[in-house]
Amino acid sequence: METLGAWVDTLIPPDEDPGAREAGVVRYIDLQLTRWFRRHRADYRDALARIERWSRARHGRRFAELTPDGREEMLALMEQGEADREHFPNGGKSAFELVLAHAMQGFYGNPRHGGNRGYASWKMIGVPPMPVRGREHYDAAKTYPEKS
Amino acid sequence: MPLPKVDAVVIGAGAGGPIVAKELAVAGWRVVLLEKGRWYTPADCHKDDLRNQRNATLGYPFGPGEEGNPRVFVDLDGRERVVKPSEPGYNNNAFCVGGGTLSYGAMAWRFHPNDFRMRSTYASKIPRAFENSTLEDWPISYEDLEPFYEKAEWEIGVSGDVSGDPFKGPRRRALPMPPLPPTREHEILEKGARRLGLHPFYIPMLRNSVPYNGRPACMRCRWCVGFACEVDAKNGTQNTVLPTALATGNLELRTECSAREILVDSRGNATGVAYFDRDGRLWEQPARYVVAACGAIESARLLLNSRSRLYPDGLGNRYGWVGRNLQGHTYTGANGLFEEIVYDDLGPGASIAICDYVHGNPGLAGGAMLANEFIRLPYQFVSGIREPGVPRWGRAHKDFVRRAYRRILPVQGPTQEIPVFESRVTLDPRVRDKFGIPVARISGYRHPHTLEVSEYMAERAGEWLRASGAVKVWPRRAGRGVSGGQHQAGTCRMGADPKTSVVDPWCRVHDTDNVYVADASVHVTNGAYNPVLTIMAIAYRAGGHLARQGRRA
Repeated sequence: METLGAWVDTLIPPDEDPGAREAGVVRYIDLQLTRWFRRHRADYRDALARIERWSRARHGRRFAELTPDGREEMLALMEQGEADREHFPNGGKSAFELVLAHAMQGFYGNPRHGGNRGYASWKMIGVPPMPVRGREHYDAAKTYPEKS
Repeated sequence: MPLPKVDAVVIGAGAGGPIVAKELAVAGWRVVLLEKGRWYTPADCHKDDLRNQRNATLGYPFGPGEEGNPRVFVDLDGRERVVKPSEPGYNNNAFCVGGGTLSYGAMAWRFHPNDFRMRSTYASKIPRAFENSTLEDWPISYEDLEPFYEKAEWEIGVSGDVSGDPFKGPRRRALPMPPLPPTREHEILEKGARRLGLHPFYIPMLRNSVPYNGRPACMRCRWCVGFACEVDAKNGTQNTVLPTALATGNLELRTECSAREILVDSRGNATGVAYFDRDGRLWEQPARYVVAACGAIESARLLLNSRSRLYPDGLGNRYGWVGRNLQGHTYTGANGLFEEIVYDDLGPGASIAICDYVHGNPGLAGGAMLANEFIRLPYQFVSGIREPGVPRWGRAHKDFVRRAYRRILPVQGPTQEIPVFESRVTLDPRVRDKFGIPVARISGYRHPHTLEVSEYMAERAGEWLRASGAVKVWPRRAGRGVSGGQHQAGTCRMGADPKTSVVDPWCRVHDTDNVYVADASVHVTNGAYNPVLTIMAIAYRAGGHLARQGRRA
């Protein structure tokens, strides 16, 4: 959990708006691994164990304990398929793409699936939540006053 | 088990089937309508960005089910894959009552008069569009369809204002509803179009802008294309002709019923349909007439699966044309980044179009209508629109989304495809669905000229955006693979000559007295526009003809 939280927070880091972890992306992935993404359970177990071993071998520390720059560097290598082959036999590309897609879904998708907690990403980009049937439109500026 | 004989059985409750069923039922025919999927209601709109008919990240809500309905897809390198509905290559539309019309964007275009005569228009001028293609004229004209376009516009319900389109075919009657008020994107693009001397106008839409047919006006939420309308303001067959047909008492709708084959007698005429119900029981529904309206992929599959001694290769397939010429649309365009906010959260989003480039493009056969896109839901934006050079993740990516989401305006259009004989639906020799029926196998490619036209359209879209004030513009290009998807068409071509087509100009399968096809399968070419209003017009024309000329049981 901690490793996955650090991973998705590197993909969508916290700044003036919440990062992936705070927005519930780990919960989104966890829930979907019991539902639509059941076929990816082994992929996740495998990827998390490998990045943990690689981090210890490379930096002598757990992945979650690395600096943001250190984590970014490792994920960038995976994106290029250039992770240490001893730990990721295929260079880490497939694991990187899997987590990236799911992180974006969890952060920007509908809150009903466990991510995008408190409409974090919708507030960030300035779109209002779902209207209630028969009501006037929400005004994003009024709904999220802190954002206007 | 045989059931009591009816006058007609219609297979498929999408855009075409319910219209034929309604024309027959109001004429007093006893009709059974079989639909593979379920009947959903406005309450089934879950506004789910990750699970809708345009984004199947977590599956399709309106069918088909992910398990038990595979297809086989063959890519450009000849590699074949068994694909589930949410996987690339499946070319899904929807399996449900209303079909695509339950959840579509609902653009209500009439084809251009020249869309029906592509050979006559371009054969001498653009010979390369005819190399290795099956580009042809339709056996019917715009004028033949015009009264039925009008009928579809008024019975199903269209809003918009096409009076500003000087390129349209002649029409006798205006649209029944005014357009929705313009969006901010509409105003921005209208100025740009005028600057270029183009002719912008309001897209016609099968959506209520005012109360119509006993249902309310659009509430303008952003969950439109891909979703069932929560307030039932979007007009499909499920909330218009189908209730009318059921009210006659002459129509029986059977949902979750999957046709296995059209049954044929020794003289080659249909005697009925064999189908499986939701519990997997096999039934025979005898009928005087059979109408296939399952969409271009499934109608072709059904005919190919209807083998008999007379038709060993499938019904209507004596000359090997069933399943050929599979086509959809090649969407290209451009994204424009603006300094000011262009997004106003007013659904459906798409609002303004130009038809200046539908025909008459220098050195090209055909073209496309261009329009601003429907609202991009946040995850759809993140997975599909990125400024070149922006990383895919990390701080810079997040900054980009925060800054650009409400400042990017995409313009795109459906390039009319040059049909290809080798782009096709066949039956897979090995893979079967949950009922043991051989599944559709999709293979082929896009004609090089289609890609040429689509590149030209991307440039025109970019030009329009720059003239509208975009500070940065980048193109959206198309792939070379076979097309189909929601606009799938062409697999049971309409024609006068049985040797080079599957159905006659009234949609009757050559060689038979009583089998009809009523969906986009019959399209010779698929127009430079979204095809649904043409499917509806052809269904009205074929259904009305059958009701007048047909002999009931």
